[in-house]
Amino acid sequence: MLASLTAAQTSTGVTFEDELRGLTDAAIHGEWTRLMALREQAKQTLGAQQVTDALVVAAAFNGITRVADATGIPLDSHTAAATQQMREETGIQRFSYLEKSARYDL
Amino acid sequence: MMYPEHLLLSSDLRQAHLKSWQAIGQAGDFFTGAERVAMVETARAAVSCDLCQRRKEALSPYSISGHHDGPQTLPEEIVDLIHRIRSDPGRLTKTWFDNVTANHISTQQYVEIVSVVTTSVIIDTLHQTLGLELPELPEPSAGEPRGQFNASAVDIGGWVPVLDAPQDLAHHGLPHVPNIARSMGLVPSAVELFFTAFRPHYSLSDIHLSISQAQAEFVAARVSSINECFY
Repeated sequence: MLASLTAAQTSTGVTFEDELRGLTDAAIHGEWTRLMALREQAKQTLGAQQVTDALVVAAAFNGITRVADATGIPLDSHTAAATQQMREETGIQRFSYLEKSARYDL
Repeated sequence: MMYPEHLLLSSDLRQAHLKSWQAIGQAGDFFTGAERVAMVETARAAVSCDLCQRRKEALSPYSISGHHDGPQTLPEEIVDLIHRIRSDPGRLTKTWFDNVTANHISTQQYVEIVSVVTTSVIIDTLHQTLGLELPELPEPSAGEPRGQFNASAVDIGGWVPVLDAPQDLAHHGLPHVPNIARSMGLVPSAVELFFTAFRPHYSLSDIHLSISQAQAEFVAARVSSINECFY
């Protein structure tokens, strides 16, 4: 289930997950024309307020992920201990700063 | 007014964005208002920058050199770090950071740049996702940087010293002050700027939006994945 956070097809069971994924992906990839169409579609199912609020969250995390990535902030210790297996299973571990350095530093 | 009245945005969010936008135009602790506005302008140019695009396509973004598109009013090294934060944040590395802060700018300056750029990313992204034109750049005010920073910031293993805070857990399972909220604590005004804009968007529990906490977490996690954010 958690793998759906890093994969395109699997399901988490979150209500209106497909709509939320489509809106989020288009928003963060800057696909504005596609996003406009998805917004209109999603208004029919989610509703206009929910569509707006999903994009409100997406915009916030487009900023705060950059804060985390630019400051190299470590996981909170409790989270680090509790999510070790999950990070491996979902592929999130490959985003760790050490692994990024190994991949991208010359 | 930054947003048309017909949009379904809370008054808290509207006021917070306006306050943050105006604050960007004022002198911070290490840069003037004009320099901070130039950071926003530079970040916007990164979205369509040819060098940034070529770096994104490369196996390592550090293997491609060249000149960035867009305004060059800020020093070249600052232009480069802003472009990297805006266009390819998931591939920033400690080695890169160490080089920037050892040779070009202070860690305090770095933190303020991160705050200004990421605040503008939130505001610009919301405009774009709602189909709005980007807001006009803030009007820069006169004034000199204050030079204030938190001399008691502590090393917790990140790239920058952070706010010292107790790590007792809240009911949602994270500390009352999670590391991300501490991350720019070296420069308190940087924390204030960013979280003024961020706060009306999200909370770790009892979220004040029409979507559920689970839906908000799904969107948040999806953005984190796309941006390759470890935290």
